[in-house]
Amino acid sequence: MDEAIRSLLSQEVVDSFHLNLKNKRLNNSEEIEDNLPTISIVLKKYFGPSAQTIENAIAQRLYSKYGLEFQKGEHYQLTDYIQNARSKLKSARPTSEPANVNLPLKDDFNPLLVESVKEAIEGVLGKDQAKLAFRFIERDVPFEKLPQHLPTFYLALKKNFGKNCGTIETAIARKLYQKLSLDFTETPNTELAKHVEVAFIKITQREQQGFVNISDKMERQ
Amino acid sequence: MKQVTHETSTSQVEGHFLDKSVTVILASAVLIGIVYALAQPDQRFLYALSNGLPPILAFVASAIAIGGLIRNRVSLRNRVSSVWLGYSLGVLLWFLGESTWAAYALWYSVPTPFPSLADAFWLAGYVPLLCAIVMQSWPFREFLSSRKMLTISSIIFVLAIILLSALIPTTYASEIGQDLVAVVVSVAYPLLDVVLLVVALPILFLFGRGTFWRPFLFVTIGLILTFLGDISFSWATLTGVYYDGSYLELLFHWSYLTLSYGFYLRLRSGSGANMLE
Repeated sequence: MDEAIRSLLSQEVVDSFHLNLKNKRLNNSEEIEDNLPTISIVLKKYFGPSAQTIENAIAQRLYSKYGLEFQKGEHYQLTDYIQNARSKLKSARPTSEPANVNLPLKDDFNPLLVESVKEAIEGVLGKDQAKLAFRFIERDVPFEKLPQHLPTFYLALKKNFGKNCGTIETAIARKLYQKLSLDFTETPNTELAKHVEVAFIKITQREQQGFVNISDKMERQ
Repeated sequence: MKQVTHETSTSQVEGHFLDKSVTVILASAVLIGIVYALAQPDQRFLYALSNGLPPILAFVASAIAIGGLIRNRVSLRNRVSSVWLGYSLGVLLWFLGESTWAAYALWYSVPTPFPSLADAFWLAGYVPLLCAIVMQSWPFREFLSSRKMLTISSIIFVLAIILLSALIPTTYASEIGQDLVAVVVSVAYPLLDVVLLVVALPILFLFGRGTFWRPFLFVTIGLILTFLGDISFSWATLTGVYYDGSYLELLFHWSYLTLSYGFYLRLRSGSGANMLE
């Protein structure tokens, strides 16, 4: 949803739309998932008739992430698209073919990790505070070199966030797992390093099982 | 429970604020109309009003627009910010046009040459305005190319052609018909207005509802009022019924008021348009 709105309009619109969702007590992704009809209503109230284009863009991105073919339906709402996607995924599961050829793989790991770090910090601190935090973190490790200097990055997080580091780390891990389409289980006292390591192993296993990389697939198309 | 009470009171305050600001704009529009009606017998006052009021109103609109840009920070990589920059630049150029016109009429007390520097500013103002409208509607181009929208655009286009085919020969037949630059400038106004209208009217359908679009909606209404003003002005000038202080000038004044209100909503809304929620 955020990606679709950001690509059509801007990050500031994403932020202000989230404020609207907060007013409707929809604070996190779980609550959003459980209240899709309300999301559609808020989208319509906020964006008017143009909400249809935004809903289509959201659905299109979602379908592409799961490697599903997107077909625009007349008068289709977000709920319909998601229901359709769920049934498509369900029916595709029993086959020997991989259910999702567009799942992120090893090559996608590093950029998604950097994205997750940025988005999670912005999500916890808000955009303005996050900018300040980025500046401090980048003194220790620039974002583009972050995947290659993970231990320094973990130390930078601890140094900058102190006792709140745990919240930030969990938010980053959750975001990363979400982006990698992996199930995230929050376990107490598990450090970000462990989550990242497990995620990388799972992604490697996924690749070994024969999933096709997004970029490979796009090249072939 | 406390949170619910707080949110209710916030929205009440915002709602109240919104009503108040609409009232101010409507009252100003009515007041300007009354002043025009009362000033009709006094030609000297009417002349000063006709030439002095537009730069003041345009200044208010552009000052609020620039205030909004400063408050929300301009970023060319941000679509919404770029759209507002376009609208603000357009109105700023129109303010310069109005000021130049007023300087000729009130400061130097000479008849404004045609075409003049004021025309250059006014015509230049259309460029960022058109860019802003196109940039705003570009992500939603699929909706705008729907059958319904294409029908609306075609109707506007046909009406515009009829309008232009009536205006262009009349312009040639008038005094300025001997000066090619003057003819081009005369025709450029309705032509650019039509282009503006063709892109702005479908936007009214697309962004007419939805709290996020409300500031944009008022800016679009302001531009449509300018279109109506320009067309009336061209018709009145060519038929010889125009005079300084003519009632048709109200369309331009109301346009600046509506534009000011749109920019004001943007200024107040901060990064989004949540104040309207």
